[in-house]
Amino acid sequence: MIARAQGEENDGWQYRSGRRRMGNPAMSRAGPLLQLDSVRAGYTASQVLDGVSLEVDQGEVVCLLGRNGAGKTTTIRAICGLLAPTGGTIAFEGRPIAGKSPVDIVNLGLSVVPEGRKVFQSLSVEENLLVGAYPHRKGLVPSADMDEVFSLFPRLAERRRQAAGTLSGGEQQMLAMGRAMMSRPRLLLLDEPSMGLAPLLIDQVFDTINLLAERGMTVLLVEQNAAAALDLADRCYVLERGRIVVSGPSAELERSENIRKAYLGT
Amino acid sequence: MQFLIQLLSGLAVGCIYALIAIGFSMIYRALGLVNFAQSEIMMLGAFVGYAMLTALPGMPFALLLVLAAAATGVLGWLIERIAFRRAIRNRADQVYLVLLTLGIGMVLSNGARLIWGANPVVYKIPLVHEVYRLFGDPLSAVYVYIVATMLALLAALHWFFSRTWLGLAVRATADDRDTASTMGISVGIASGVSFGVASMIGALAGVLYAPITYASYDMGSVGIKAFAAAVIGTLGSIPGAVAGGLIIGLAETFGGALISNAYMDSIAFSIMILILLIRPNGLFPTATRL
Repeated sequence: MIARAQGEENDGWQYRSGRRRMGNPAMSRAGPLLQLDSVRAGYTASQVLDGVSLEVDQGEVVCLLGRNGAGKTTTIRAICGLLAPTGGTIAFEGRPIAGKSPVDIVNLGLSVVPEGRKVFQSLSVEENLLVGAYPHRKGLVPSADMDEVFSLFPRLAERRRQAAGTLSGGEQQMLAMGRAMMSRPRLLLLDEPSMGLAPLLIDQVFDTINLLAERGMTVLLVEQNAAAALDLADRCYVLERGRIVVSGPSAELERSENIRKAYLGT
Repeated sequence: MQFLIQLLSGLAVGCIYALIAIGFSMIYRALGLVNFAQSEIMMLGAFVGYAMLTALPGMPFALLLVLAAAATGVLGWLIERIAFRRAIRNRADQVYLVLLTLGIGMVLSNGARLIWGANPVVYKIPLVHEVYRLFGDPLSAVYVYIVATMLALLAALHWFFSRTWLGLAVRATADDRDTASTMGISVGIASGVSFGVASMIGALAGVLYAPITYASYDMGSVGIKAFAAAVIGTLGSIPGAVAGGLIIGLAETFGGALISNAYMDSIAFSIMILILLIRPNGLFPTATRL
């Protein structure tokens, strides 16, 4: 699906070239890009996150695994500002962001592809992408960034004038990812991008994330599809009942007997 | 040609309802809120126009429309900023917000009574007496302004919602408020713009309605028919609000002529009940909105 020459001119996003295959904190100059320290968060009736600590370094793909209700989406909502943490700290590029509004946080360079895609149903594909570029709004016209998204997802280009609500699930996932890219983020949060998709489409979604990572995008990925996520990510965290219970390089976790039993079903 | 005159005046009155109904629908679509102060905003617009005419008697009617709409739009934005924004951002209960709109409506109408008195005032402009002859029958010139304003407004709204960042931001927020905020659009932008634009449209209705009748602190009572129009066309749909307004305007004009003018209101509401019996979600349930 992604037929894009490696050396092609890129006048859209600023990619840092060369992806480190393994996370290596020693290589990062000024600390991690994203750092959560003992984050607590929840809703009126229930505490969901009970002290979550994790780090994402520049250029890494980090995966957050866990079962339904473990607190994965709550973690994402706390990072992107939709839910104010009740304790702990969240730092992006060293600056504290816990409790800031989602608007402030996206303007700092952190973009989210929400669970269930959440495309703007009544807006056209093109309008959805424009809304994604809202932090950099200038003229309301298709931009180089939009061409970039269309070259990544040719299906979207074919349907650019169609209402997003009429797209298939896979196309909506592509649109949600393209929309998030339009803000030229330095960190991309993906909440269960494979949810509800056919296996072939899941492969496409993971191929795309891999391509973005190869171009230097830093990614925090939340997944239930552990096999595919471990394949893609440099490092993984496993979340259980609001706490990180296991973490480490993906290759190590893949070999671990407990993880295989609990998340890979083998 | 009595029929043609009735058709045109029915359409014109329908346009007035439609203008107020668009205000109801816009705010409902953007914020899920029925703003019962919308009809008092129309009344306020009529008085803002009256005050402007008093200050500058020779003002052309088209200019009056634009200026009154702009001034009332600012007032609407201020009302949102002072009374609603905090409550909306903190996700106040709908019951509370609806009561707030009712309260603001009362404050506006009593405030107008305090400033301009309890007696109706008339616009002292030549346009009020201007009449076109259509096959010998008289047609008020104001009606021409009403229909022209309606068409111009629809074009302007289409441009605003599809060709400006603010319009796009309002539509995105209406679709999904949380996701829009993660794209950098604050809820305040959408609610401020919606109240401002809805107030501008309300003022257009008021300034166009006053020359046909008068301006009075209690003229907002026509708002209930406009609300019925918005419901007929499915609350939240702008094309629906226009269709609903025209249906009510035509129904009461022809119904009044066929039966008796005394029954105009009940004819309008009978039509609404009939349409909602057949189509409980109105005429445009999933059609393109905004």
